[in-house]
Amino acid sequence: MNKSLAKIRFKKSGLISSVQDHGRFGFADYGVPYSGAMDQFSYNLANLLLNNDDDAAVLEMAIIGPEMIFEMPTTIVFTGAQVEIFVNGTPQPIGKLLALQHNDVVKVGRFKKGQWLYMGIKGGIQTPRYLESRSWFEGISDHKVVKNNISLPYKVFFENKEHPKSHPKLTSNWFETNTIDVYRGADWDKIPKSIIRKLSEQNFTIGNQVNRMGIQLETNLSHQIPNILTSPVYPGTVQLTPSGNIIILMRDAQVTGGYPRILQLTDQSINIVAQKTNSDVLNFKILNY
Amino acid sequence: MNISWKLIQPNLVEISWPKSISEEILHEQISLRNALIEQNQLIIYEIRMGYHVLSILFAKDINSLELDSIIKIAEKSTSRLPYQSIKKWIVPVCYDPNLAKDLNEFCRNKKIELKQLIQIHTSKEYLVHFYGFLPGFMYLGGLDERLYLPRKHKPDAAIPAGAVGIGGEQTGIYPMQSPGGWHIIGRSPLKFFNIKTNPPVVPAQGDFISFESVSISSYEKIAKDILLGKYIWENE
Repeated sequence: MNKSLAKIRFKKSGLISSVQDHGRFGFADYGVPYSGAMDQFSYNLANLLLNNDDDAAVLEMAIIGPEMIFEMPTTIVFTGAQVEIFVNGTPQPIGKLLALQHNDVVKVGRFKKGQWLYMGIKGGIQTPRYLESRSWFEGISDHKVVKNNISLPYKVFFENKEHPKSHPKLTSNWFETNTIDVYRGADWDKIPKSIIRKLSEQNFTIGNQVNRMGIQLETNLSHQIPNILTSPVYPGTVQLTPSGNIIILMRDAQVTGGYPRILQLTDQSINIVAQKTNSDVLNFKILNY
Repeated sequence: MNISWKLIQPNLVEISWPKSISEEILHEQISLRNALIEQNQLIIYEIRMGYHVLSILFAKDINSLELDSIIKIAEKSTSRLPYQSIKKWIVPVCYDPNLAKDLNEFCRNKKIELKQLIQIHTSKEYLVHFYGFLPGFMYLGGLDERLYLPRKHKPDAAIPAGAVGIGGEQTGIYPMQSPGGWHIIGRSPLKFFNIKTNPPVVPAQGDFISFESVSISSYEKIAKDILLGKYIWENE
């Protein structure tokens, strides 16, 4: 097996493609967010299918995917959103191990369902680690998103045998549920009863801004809750802004915040809302805990 | 001091002090964190702080026995810190309208002379409560109330690294370029976040910083020294 490095070059970079891994932990004391794949479930699945280390770096993509040229042989797999994938023009399903040859062209087409697509690669993307993680984050890593002039290093693997024809059929069922499991947030006691009722009864619609810091819900829960003194927040913390907006903090969120923290998503709920797209509807199921 | 606690999720506990910004609370938080790390290294994954809150993320869901022992430790936290460990850092700042876009407007708004603004802003020692907002952003306590000014209604798209600002009742330094709603009154040549060092920041929680007014030429000299790796932060 040859372990020299080759490069993924980008004919088209896509819109917000970035290198992500499990996340950057242990630096929140210095104000550093976790970052890492938005949908950790699909991220882990990609590395599992490839038999990678569980913190191997992948390419995360959304909205408009890239078109890539692989210099040398390797194996890749796609997980997450339901997206059209083409290898040298031939459609390929997500979830299938794809053995690539010298100069193969991989094109990510239309996003049909879900927000974030992951491309795992055997051995993981070999971009540098910054503070122990390869996840890209502005101000920490050299890049924030993939641009046409950036190339991504990976380990070359010559495959001796073909991959099995059968592969797991990855569906979007797991993230199509509208019910989001949540715990009561740290500032739950400050929320008036009328808002609590709305939180557990109302449907909320995902807003149209896509970013890695947070998801805004289209709502207007007017209230008189005073702001809190700046306090810790985490991915999955749900904030209520002074103007009555609801924000679900995601992987790139700040480590502290000044808005009341009304709910806290479970780990799997964070992955589910990550895959929600503009105008999807959700409701909160408050866990008795 | 009186504390309360709350289990947010099976592996996350938040300890709260009375809602206020004080050195005493900060010292209790630091003493609690040190005690927790000493006694529970394995099950504690991460500790985060706000002004009057300390949250503990565990590596696994915790049981009531473990929770009890954590609360016992929290109740014993004291505000007595070993004083030799507290440092006072000097941060050079150039208060010049060429480097600080809101400086003149700030003075007009507050009806004070630039000289007076500099005198007030540099005469205080600011307590580093914790880091948040951006990598390397210090939440500082101790701004003189004569300099309080509500944040801008419309945040600026790009505030440069090293910008020293005032927002509401707080003063702070932008460690990297970022959007922000604070009034920029000065600029420091120092680097407040460096991924090549461990830790990536210089002042620790509980330390103090004070601002020292420098001319544009010494601002530029310090910036050059930093590029050459020759600058060492001053403390007393």
